[in-house]
Amino acid sequence: MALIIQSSFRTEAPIDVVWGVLTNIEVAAPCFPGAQLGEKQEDGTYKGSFNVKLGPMSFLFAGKFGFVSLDPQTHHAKINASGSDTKGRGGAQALVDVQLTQEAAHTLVDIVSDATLSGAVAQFGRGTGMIQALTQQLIDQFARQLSVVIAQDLAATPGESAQQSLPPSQPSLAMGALLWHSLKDWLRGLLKKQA
Amino acid sequence: MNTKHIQLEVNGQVYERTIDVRLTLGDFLRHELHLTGTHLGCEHGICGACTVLLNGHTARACLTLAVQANAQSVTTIEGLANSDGTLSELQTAFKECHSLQCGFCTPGFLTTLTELLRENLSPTEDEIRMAITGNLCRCTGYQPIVDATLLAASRLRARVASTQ
Amino acid sequence: MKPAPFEYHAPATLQEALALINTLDNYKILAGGQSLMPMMNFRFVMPDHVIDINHLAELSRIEQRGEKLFIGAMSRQHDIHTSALVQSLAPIIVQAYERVSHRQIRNRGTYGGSLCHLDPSSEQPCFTAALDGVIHVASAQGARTVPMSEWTSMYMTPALAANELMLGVELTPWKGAHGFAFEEYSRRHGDYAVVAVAAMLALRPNGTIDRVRMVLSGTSAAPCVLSQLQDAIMGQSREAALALVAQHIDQLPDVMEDAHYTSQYRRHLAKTLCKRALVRAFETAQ
Repeated sequence: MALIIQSSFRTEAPIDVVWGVLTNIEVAAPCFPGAQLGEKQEDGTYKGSFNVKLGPMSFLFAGKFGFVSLDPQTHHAKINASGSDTKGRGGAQALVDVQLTQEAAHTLVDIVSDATLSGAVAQFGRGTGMIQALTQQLIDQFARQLSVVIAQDLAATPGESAQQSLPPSQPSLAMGALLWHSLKDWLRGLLKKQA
Repeated sequence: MNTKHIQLEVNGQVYERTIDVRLTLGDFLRHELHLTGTHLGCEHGICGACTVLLNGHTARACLTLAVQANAQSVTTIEGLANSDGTLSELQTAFKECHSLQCGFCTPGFLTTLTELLRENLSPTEDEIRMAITGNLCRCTGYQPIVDATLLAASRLRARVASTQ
Repeated sequence: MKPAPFEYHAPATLQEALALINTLDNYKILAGGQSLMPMMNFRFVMPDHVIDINHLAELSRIEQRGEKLFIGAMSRQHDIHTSALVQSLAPIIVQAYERVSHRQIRNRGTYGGSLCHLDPSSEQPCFTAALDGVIHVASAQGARTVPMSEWTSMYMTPALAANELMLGVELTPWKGAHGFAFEEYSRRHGDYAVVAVAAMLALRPNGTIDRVRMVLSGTSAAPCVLSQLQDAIMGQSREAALALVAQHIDQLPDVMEDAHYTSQYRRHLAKTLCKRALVRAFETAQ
């Protein structure tokens, strides 16, 4: 299944700070829910895995990812990520386009993922709408944790950096548990309480 | 390996076995008890070929764990004939009406329609068709199955009437 | 096509079951097994622990509690379908079960299992929303209730914590004369709905709508209560109500789409089925 997923989030920090944290894989990757960062490879890519639940199915995707391009001037980055379920139920490959934009009080992070899903994860995920919803939840949790890390980074005394306070890997994303934070907004949309 | 000891009744006979907990009832019947009349067509509950009677009611043997049949009573196709070995009224009607060709789906149809006739001796054609929505047949086009059921029902009714 | 290895537990009491789910990781509850076993056979789902709750007889009551109808989570779909109490209090449920799968599945499948599996195309969450279901859940720490409107956390994920078990649902039957209809389109009888509608309405003496509830299944992760349409057709005659259906269905954001049916087709079905359901509900309301 090929699909384009668009998601975005805002974070209260200047664009350069956000850029610095986002492009620092060792700091940013653990912010992703259920993610475990592996070793950096010789070619600059990283091994990694993340686990995620889609309805009754739990997947552990293991694979690698790395920057394809990085432009600090335009705050534009492209990441290539690919992985397959360790239990053989399919895989995912995505080219993720990240664009930062400075707004008045926030930095806007726009993410466009050009993804291809295969195997059970594609079969089971009832169409792109569900995957889109799942992805937005993952991004929302990522954004929340990233904001925590950025705040720590900003609060750090000069000379320290966020690298010295790496966040622990986030617990795997059980959809039910996660969504208490953003539940009401999302549910309102789902339950079609028409505007 | 996770195992459990079970004891159950199948076609009136009691069996005891120690089995892997993930063994389905369908595989238990076929491989442990060598009752291969129960057929596995899809193993996800759709085709109906594996339908057996669990405590008198139809159930998919592919969707039941054998351990769940512990202390229960199972009837398979092998248990539908009369105790003297003669075919049941429904089985006889199937034979007469050519309600089977390859025979793969037939055990599931027979257990399903046995349940129907136990509950309703005067089913309409619609009621019969509704009862068999959960059984797929590639060979017959279903009409002979419906005909056999109507025939068996009328014979069973006549038998009841003649004993009154 | 065989399940991956797991440990099997068959708690004899509710307390035992709650204690198990309070501590075990990667478990699945085995109720009717009609949704879980196919997934396990395909190895889409590979739990380390299977907790068989078929011995918990206290979870299969179907009973009237004051003005409410309570249906226990382990109630077999066939038992609900053929219950005289259900037929008298909430006959739309009986109509819905006519469309649920096949007799062999309904003999084992449970109401609670369907509500926890939460397939978007399922009929049971749909009528549960139409009857303002309140879901009772329990854990080793206590019990709570969840209104059906808050039950869907995410696609096929109920708002159930990892250590909680669903006990049953309290539904609110309508009192007094009212009409109802459960309409569904599926390719074959017994398939999950492509789209289904549960409609209930009560009329004023002049034949206009006094009270109405319309819920869709098959268009979103949660059953879709058509609140705007409901509001718009209050006080309307049958013809006026029918005329309002199309535009409100058109205004639904994000109608589900998958490899089999487009969202445009589902919208089309929703319009047709809503109209059919309204017509039948009007008829039975007289």
